[in-house]
Amino acid sequence: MRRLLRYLRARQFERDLAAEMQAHLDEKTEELTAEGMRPDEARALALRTFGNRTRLLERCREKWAFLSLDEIGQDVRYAARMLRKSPAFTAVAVLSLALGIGANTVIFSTVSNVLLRSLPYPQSDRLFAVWSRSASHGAEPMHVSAADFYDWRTQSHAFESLSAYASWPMNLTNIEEPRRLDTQLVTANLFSTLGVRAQIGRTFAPDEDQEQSAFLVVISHHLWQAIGESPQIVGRQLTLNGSQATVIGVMPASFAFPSPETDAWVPLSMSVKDRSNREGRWLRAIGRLRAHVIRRDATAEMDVISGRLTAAFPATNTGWSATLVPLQEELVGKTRPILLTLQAGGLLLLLITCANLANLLLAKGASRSREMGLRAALGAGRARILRQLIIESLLLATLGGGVGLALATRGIALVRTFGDGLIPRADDIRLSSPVALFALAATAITALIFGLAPALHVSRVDFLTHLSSGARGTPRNLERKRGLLVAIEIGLAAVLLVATGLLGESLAHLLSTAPGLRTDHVLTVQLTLPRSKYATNAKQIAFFQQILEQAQGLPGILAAGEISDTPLKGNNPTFEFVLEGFLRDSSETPVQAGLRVISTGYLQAAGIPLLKGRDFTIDDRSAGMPVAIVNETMARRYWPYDPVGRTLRLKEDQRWITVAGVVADIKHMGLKTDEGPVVYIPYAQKTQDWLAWTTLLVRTAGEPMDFVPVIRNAIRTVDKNQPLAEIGTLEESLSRCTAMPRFTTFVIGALSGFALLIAVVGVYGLLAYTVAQRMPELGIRSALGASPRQLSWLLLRQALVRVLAGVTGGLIGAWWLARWMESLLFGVRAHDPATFASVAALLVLVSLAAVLVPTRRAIKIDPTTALRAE
Amino acid sequence: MPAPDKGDLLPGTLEMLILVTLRREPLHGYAIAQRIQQNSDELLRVEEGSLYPALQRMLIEGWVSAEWGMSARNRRVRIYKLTAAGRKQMSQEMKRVGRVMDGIARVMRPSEA
Repeated sequence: MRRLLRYLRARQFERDLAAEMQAHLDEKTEELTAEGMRPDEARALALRTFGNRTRLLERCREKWAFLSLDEIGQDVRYAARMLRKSPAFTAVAVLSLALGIGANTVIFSTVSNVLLRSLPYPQSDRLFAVWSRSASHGAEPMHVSAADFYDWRTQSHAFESLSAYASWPMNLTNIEEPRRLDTQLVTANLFSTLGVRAQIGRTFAPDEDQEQSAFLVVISHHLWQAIGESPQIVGRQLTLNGSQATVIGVMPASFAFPSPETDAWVPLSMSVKDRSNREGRWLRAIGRLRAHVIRRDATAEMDVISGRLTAAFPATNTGWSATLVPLQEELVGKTRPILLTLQAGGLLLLLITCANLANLLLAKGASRSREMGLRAALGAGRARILRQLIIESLLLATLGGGVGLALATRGIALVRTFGDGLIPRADDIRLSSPVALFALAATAITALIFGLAPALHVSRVDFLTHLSSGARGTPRNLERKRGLLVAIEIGLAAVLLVATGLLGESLAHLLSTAPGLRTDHVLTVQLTLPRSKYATNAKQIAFFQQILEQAQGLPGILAAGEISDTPLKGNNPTFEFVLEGFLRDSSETPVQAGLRVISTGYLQAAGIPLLKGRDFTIDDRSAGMPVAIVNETMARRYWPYDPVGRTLRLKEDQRWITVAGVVADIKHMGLKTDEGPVVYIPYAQKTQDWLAWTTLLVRTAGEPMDFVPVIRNAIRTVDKNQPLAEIGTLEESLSRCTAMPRFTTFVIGALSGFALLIAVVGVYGLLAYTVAQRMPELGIRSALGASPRQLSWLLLRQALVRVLAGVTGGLIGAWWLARWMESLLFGVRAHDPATFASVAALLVLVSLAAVLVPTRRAIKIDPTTALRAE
Repeated sequence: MPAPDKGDLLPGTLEMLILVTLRREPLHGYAIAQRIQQNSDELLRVEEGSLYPALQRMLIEGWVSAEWGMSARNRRVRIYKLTAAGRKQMSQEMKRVGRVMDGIARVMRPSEA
């Protein structure tokens, strides 16, 4: 509207001024005639003294600085024509800009969604995860014991409310297809701590997590949909682990605590005895700080409480303290350095893009100086020329931004698909308005950077010299500027290439790491028994044995076995052991070892080699002599000479166990970490009745997933209500271990590929331009007897200096930046000399290849042709 | 008519001259040029090429206002009038120019200084 008004005013202004000037001329003519001059002479004189009316009009208009739509339209059309006229320039410019902007938009969309967007809870900055911590356990965050949790809750004042929860899968059986639910045991106040309400019904009342409380359940939105989406869901009975639970509420679809997979929440109802247990650390705690209480004060208070607990319970609490982690950080966790690395990579690419465009436009500007000179001579104001150039740049940027946004939409779809399970809240990632704004800002800034600098340069040109000299002598400082830009491009590309090299090498290390077991053709199925039905250890053992026999008897199954914690999934429960004959100083760290309960056949099914002694057999029964198998690390650390026959026991259990064999170590928790000492005991001899779950591994003769129906039937014949969970293959688990590094390496690799391409085009462009400019000079040199070798060295030297300067600068930058990547690396140091050297070599070689083309053209010229062009 | 050298007017002087000329009465563009020429005894000549851009600038600054009227020769012309802001600007300009003239005079006759 305002522009329209301005436009109309501009029209009015021009009419007024034209009329005014006409009147002026007429007055003057009349006066001169009155003084006795002939009318035609008078008019001619008046016109002559008046000068160029169009020019005058222009100058008056400049004063008003009208941007008439006409002129803008004209400029845009002209700019479009210019771009069409040099398709190669336009394509390179728009494409590189689109890549820069597109990549940044995708990455920034992800980063802002994961790192910047606050959690969907009111005042989520006051929410903290609270962990136990002990120096003897590497100061890693550890779960909390029930007694500690309740003591924290009663003694702490910093928290408005403190809640605990623990993952506790349950089987839902009174539906058509029994299924295992990802259930969380939660204190009744969990929902109020988070500040969320149920969508239907209600959440738990404060006293509903007592020992005698009724069995209630709050279900997730997706579970509600899965069981029929009935509006009358409240009050319905669900059979969970064989007991009847009453549904009291359904959470909204957006509620995903602690993970989107969570199906239901049931109260953490503990007996007095359970509540006073300080040794079993199995709860996670989350607290909401009171308003105005800061993290440091809360930590200080927790330290005081921990000190008090240590004094009161030295046996269990010595060395233990508590640590607070912002919930956002807790959920984002390890993806943070990855995302920041990706964002840094994106920004580097954007910088390269900008440098490249500035470079392109400088070259273009220089070759257009005659055009500009001509326009200036014809009366175009400096502002007008500047505007024309800015409009050209803006048009380029808009095109680039548009294509970039189109690419970004595609890219975000890819991230959502491939990032699922890798990036927290990946399915929420979308091109939101702040992100679109970021892209716009990137476009605008880019346009300004590369549009204004050359525009100023060009319009400062004294047009007269350009018209008269035929634009031969390009200003030296233009070449220097372009050389600098090319060096910068090379340097930035070097940084990205080093990052790619380091990540790629890490990935290669990771992929070549032997997992220690044979992952091919193994199906894994998780089974969790309801304690109500399988209360005793004997019942559980019997069930596991029956399942195993069923599976082993099936055709096409080469081996079958069971284990308490699936390999490569990261779960590694550790226990304290007492070793016979291993004298332990009281100040020393207790002997910590992972405990895995396995069945006969497990080692064959998983393909773990037995190194010494024997495997478990069917004769290792609960009544027989307790036996164990230890892994190599355990054996080497504690019994370097003769592990077999030694005895050990769980600290909490008086029964001594004899070591029957030694197996090789495997990468149980994922490829990056060693599993440490491990003790395997047979299912048949387990004493822990809480261990009511197992993972069945079957090695199949064909495609493992084809065996799912057979296995399902086999389990049904033992218990028709027993659901199967986490059906998958070891191969999948293994590939999940490397998924994130593969993703990161791929993205950074793609970014550096673009960067390399752009930088090389820059080097090529620089030299091609120089050759074109210096053609006559080269012709003279050639005519005077310079050899092709001398000529090419003359040119190569110039490009080489820039490339080497860029590479050196880039490697120094990369050296400095690499330490931030340390946490992403595996098996390679951040300052790996080989990587740095190869990047340098690669860049120099590729640049040489790029400059050879124009150099060849230069040395092949016929001196006479070159001279005649003069 | 002796044509004075180009650049006769110091920068900024033209605007002051226009302001002073308009102080007595509102005038149209040609009349302004004529008046300055006459009042300076033909020493100063205002070129059209400078006059109109200057008038436009003064319109933007709000020192003058313009409306259409009739000239003495019965021609439709735009008549410029001094505004209050223009009056203020004029006195400031006159002081400034006075100082500059004074300074120039002293420099040019250093012996008398």
